[in-house]
Amino acid sequence: MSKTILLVDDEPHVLEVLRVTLEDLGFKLLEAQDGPGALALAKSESPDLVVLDVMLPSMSGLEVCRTLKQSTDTVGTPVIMLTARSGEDDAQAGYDAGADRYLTKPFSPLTLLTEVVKLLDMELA
Amino acid sequence: MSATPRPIEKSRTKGQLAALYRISRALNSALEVQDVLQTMLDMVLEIFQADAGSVMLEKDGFLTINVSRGLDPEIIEKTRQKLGMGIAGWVAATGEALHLDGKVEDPRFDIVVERGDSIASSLSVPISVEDHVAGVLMIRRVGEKKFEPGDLAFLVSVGDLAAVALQKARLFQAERRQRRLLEFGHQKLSATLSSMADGVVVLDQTGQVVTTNTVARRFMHPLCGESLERVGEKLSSLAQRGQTEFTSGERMLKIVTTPLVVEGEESGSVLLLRDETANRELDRMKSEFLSMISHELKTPITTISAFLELLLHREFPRERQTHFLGICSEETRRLQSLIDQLLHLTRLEAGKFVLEERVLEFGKLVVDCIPAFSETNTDHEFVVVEPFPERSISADPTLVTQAVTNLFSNAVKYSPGGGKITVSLKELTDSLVLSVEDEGVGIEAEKLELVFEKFYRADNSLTRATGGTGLGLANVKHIALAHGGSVWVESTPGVGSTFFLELPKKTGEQK
Repeated sequence: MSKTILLVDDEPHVLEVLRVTLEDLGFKLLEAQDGPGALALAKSESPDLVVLDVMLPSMSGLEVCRTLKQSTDTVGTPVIMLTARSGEDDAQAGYDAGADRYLTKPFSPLTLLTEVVKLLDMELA
Repeated sequence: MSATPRPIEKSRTKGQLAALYRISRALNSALEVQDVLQTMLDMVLEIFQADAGSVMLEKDGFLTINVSRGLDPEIIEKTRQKLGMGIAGWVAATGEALHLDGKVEDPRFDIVVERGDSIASSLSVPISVEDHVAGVLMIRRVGEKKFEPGDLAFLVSVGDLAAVALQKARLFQAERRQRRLLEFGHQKLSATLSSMADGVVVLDQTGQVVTTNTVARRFMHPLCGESLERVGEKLSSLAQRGQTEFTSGERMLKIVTTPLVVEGEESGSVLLLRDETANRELDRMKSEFLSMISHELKTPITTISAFLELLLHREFPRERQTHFLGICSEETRRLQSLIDQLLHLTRLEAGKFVLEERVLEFGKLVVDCIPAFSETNTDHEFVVVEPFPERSISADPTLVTQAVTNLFSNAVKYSPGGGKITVSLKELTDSLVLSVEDEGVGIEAEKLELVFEKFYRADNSLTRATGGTGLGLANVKHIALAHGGSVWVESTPGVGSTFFLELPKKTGEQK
């Protein structure tokens, strides 16, 4: 059964690069450009993993992450946070919000892919 | 032959003692030099039944009349006698008393001021303070009645009394001057303390408050109320913990402590309380700005570096490669424009630029900016409301072009659905006003002021999607201000926005 991954970023080009990074591996890819959209998709589609930008308009990625981790449906869903903020406090805030991994922008697509595979407990083909 | 005068002599001595006693009492009650001398002179004139008199005081080698009775004001004004010159000068120089009757021709006195014939008799005695003649007391009679031989000795005693009183009055005056200086110093000090922006608290060694200024009491009020005791306790306990910052109410306060040294001995501490609230806010805004910039810079770099890595490590068909490289080049331009605008804004904000003003026709400049937009952009139709006033202004063409361009690109960005962009130019008495009207998303009323702040965006996702830097309108504002103009916006959400750029005519000349 193919795994579903939810990609959340307000930058269309970043979304596109995430999509290209994870394409051809049999994932079903979903996209959202803001927090409320991400939460709605997480609820309806129950993704196996979420790649989440921190700096989102109106509702921050940290808040989205907290909400996901507090809901019984999504509490076990791994979340990889992506952020342009690189301070230690920022990383801590990410982990405090329940993130499983914390990658800073600019990120390496290969690193992201490796983390996704690890978190989904898959073997790279 | 001498039997008769004795009782008279005796009774006079008695009367003189009584008079001396009266004079000495009067002198004791007066504290001002002037009052002391005037009181003494008046009593002496009364006792001796003299017609006129004066007290001259010495200063810098000259005698001047300090107090007098029965003298011509002009003489009082004019008299300035060198020591050793004239009768008073002689008395002052020698310290000897003089009794003179009638016309005086004694060459010792080197008369300078003509003595009128009417003077029958005069007595002059020195007023000596600590072996130094400080002045001369002189009394005189007109007409027939001359002074008697014993009168001079008596007046010498009066002069001695006067000397003591004079010395006392002078000491008192000096002391009072000193006290005034101290008071003035104290007043100045407390005025300085109360007008300081910082709070000042002086603590003694036990931590008790010695002095505070108003600012310090206001700063400490949320923590300690009116109680100075609690102020002392609070500040001492902070000092013991080595804490230099604390909050009091809404304020963030910083303590700068200096030991209070009185005559070489440490006797407490002087604490300056500085309100750091505004600095903190500035720091917070600065770091927010930096974090905004770093985010804005990192976003295009993220896209570029990620696509480049993918292109390096994976095979893609030709058209996908071209597409990815297209995105990279678009993001590079965005980065470039962000850096340009940032540098520009920094220069404008710092005021470190020279406005290269030239006489230019504003309307023509505006029209020339349009093609760059209408050619690359088919979704929007630029409508110019003609005719534009043919009016020249004095302005920097590069900056004004940038401001107009920023307004146009802003109008394009915020009307993603396309539509008309209406450009008009109106002439007012002192200025020209450009308006750029779009049919875009509009701005909510409470955000109208904010759109000119750097990195503020009415709608993040929309701007990012269209590659805005969040600096364009901030630049427009600074360019307008640099020219003495202004910029503002009117908007209805869902209908569109109209941005206005007003530039002063300044030159005032017809083209």
